[in-house]
Amino acid sequence: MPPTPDKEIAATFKLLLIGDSGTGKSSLLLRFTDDTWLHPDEVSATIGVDFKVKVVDIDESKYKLTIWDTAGQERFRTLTSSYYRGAQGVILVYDVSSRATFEHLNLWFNELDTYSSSQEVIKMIVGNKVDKESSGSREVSRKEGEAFARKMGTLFIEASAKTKTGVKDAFIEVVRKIIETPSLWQKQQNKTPGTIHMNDDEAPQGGCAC
Amino acid sequence: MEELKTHYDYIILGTGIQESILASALARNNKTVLHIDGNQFYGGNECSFNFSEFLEWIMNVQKNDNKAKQSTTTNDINKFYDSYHDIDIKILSGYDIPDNEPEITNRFALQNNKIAEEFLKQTQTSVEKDKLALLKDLIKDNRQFYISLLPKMAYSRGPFIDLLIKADLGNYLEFRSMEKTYIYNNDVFENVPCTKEDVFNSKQIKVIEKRKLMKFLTFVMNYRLEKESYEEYKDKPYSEYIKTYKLNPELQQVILQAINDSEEGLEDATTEEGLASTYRYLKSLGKWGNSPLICPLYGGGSEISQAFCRSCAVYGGVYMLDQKINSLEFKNNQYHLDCELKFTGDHLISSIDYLQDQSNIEITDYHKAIIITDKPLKKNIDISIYIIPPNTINNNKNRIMLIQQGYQANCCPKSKYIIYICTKATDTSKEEIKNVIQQLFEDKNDISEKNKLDEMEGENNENIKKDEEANDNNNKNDDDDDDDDEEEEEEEEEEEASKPKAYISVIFKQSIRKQKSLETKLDKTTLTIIDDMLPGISMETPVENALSIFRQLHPEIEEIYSKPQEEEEEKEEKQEEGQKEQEEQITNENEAVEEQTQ
Ligand SMILES: Cc1cc2nc3c(=O)[nH]c(=O)nc-3n(C[C@H](O)[C@H](O)[C@H](O)COP(=O)(O)OP(=O)(O)OC[C@H]3O[C@@H](n4cnc5c(N)ncnc54)[C@H](O)[C@@H]3O)c2cc1C
Ligand SMILES: Nc1nc2c(ncn2[C@@H]2O[C@H](COP(=O)(O)OP(=O)(O)O)[C@@H](O)[C@H]2O)c(=O)[nH]1
Ligand SMILES: [Mg+2]
Repeated sequence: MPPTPDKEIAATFKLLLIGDSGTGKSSLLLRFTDDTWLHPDEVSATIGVDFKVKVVDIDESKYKLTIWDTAGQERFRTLTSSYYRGAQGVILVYDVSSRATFEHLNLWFNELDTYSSSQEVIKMIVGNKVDKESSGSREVSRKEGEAFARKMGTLFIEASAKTKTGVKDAFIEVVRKIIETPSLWQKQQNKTPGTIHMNDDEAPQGGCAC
Repeated sequence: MEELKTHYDYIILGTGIQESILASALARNNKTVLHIDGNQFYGGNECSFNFSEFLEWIMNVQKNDNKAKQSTTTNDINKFYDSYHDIDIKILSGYDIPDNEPEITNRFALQNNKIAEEFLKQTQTSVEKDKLALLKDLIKDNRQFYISLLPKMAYSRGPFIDLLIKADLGNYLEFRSMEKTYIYNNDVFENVPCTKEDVFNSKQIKVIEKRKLMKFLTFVMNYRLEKESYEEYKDKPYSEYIKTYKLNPELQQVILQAINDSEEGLEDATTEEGLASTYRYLKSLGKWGNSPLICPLYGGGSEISQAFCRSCAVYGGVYMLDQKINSLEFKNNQYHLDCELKFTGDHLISSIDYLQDQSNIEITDYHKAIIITDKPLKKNIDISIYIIPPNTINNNKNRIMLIQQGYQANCCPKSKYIIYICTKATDTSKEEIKNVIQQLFEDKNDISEKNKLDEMEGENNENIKKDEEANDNNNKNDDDDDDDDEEEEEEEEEEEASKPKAYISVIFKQSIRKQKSLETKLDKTTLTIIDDMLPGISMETPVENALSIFRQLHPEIEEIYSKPQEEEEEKEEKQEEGQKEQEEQITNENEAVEEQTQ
């Protein structure tokens, strides 16, 4: 299939994933964009994933999402500032079977406030790995998760990258919320004139001046 | 959580640009990389700071300098602060003190204001109200400042841009064209003509000179094909060779001082070196805008480091900042690093900041200044370069270079500008920098004058100002190219009226460190020390250094960034195939989504 022509795209949004290592961020991303699930011993498969692009249809318009993964830089909180820059939506992930990852969300909110460019950014808390409930290893109840999200004024959902539960919902809901907040993205869609991006390499004025 | 490896092919200390390029190149070629920095931030000596971090850096430099004077030794391996010395701070006096300060509740604002106060306590003899008010005003926009310790730009054609494109880092970095270069002549900054249009439109250059200049520039563009024509001058001074083109002294200065990227100008360069330098400059003209240089946004150096670091991380590199290094030893053919955790590595690449034995290094000092102002040096010009050739302001010995970056470079809030000054250190260089600052900037708010104006013109004054601003903006948007000359003339008159105010000016000495000679570079082939980057404007030399180190480490790898990119393309194709089905599913499921989420 040829890539969707840009003129059909209503807007492009940058989303990113944060949260402790091992909470399933990369798995959620792969599930959402490629509908794949990696066996735990296939860890190296997420090497080389910078960000993924996905076009979604919402209310008959197409939106292009670039969803950024942490590249493992969340482990020691060394994410680079360009990671956060210009994001309209953030998905904060914890693991429902690990209370520590839930408690660390506070640190992630702090990190986000320090680096993100706009306070309006849409935030979604995702309690991942709900499939582990059946084996009795849940450590954070849905209620607790919901209460924390309410306190922080963010969206909330429980999900499982393994069983697909809630994964699409998590991403789509963030996008819907972004669409409802035009101030967040409308000015950013028209990049400031004069900014040079390496991707559109050869700019209009070619040739040598001499 | 996935287990963290404890052994790596490479341990890299320092996240300066060169170390970061190497980290990225190694990871892309399947080497395991552990990348460590002793500072809380990325970039090493190429770091950039927001306003409060800048104040803290100044305080730390002062403390470190005092410690060094009392020769108290620290056991910290990280020598970051040791390359900055002798720091002088001047803050504008007479700043308006607000009648009633608004009450501040935001905890960050409170904390930042505390830093401002602490800063005045440490660096000034007393905490004066006007100065505190000024600092508080600046720190309000704390995070809009990106103040660089080693401001850099890049040629639009050259190894740096090639590398960015090959490494596919376009998504992490943004640039803007440098707008103009000026050279100081007869007590004013004159625009340096660099494009054909500039040369032809210039009113400063006579027609006959224009022809000679064009002849020279055209020659340089093809100089490598015409080796015979400069053969006999090859190793002689470039300045002599240029004379053969019979250019007037001003144009000779332009060539030697302004249109190149060397640290100190081409006054002492050989013809061979000089031609290469002029060529690199000319080659980059016309790709993006009128100038050959593009300026990375958000403070430059640190952003570039971070782009390479992220690309290393994407390919498995592990990152740790803010590491106190307790010990680093080489035993049993491995490096043993003890920081927050313990690691081993087969190879060590270390910035000179972490070199334990600092006895074998050669130091070149530069005197620098960082100034924050309310106005650009030239009206309506943001990102720009100003060259002060030797002997032009109070007999300055060496060339002095100024770089200006403002809101357009995303380095400042609106209507603030950062001006960087740099010159090679001599026994008089500090005085020379002070002279330049005195010549170009105002160091106090002249309240009496302002009050007079206010009384006389009252509200009218405000309106006129606004009109003027609106006009300026129109001019700028309409047609940048055509009206240049007219604008300039107006400009100069206006500038006479008032110089930019130096809100804060910080003068310091920076040591650029280099290993003395190859023999002392240690007998171990598994150790690579990275010298400091020189303060020249462009990024080409450090990139070439890093790449040549990579080739020494891995002569077997021909194309550093070739393979992974092909893989990516394959992946992308697959991804696109799956996309259509998924889109359909999503549309169908939208309703369900709304019910489930809060
Ligand atoms: C939970 C939380 C944590 C935050 N953490 C920080 C933080 O660590 N550091 C911080 O400076 N701000 C922090 N902020 C403030 C927030 O990021 C800024 O308010 C936002 O960036 C918009 O800034 P503003 O220019 O509109 O000014 P305001 O939000 O009105 O900020 C007022 C003052 O706070 C300073 N400030 C604001 N944000 C930051 C920031 N992220 N880092 C440093 N100074 C800031 C500004 O420079 C200014 O002096 C935090 C906010 C929240 C809610
Ligand atoms: N049972 C279960 N395991 C998961 C789920 N999501 C991720 N994992 C596992 O958790 C581990 C870490 O996942 P990863 O996506 O690498 O986490 P990241 O570090 O946040 O990117 C891997 O072993 C995954 O297989 C999930 O929804 N359920
Ligand atoms: Mg991951």
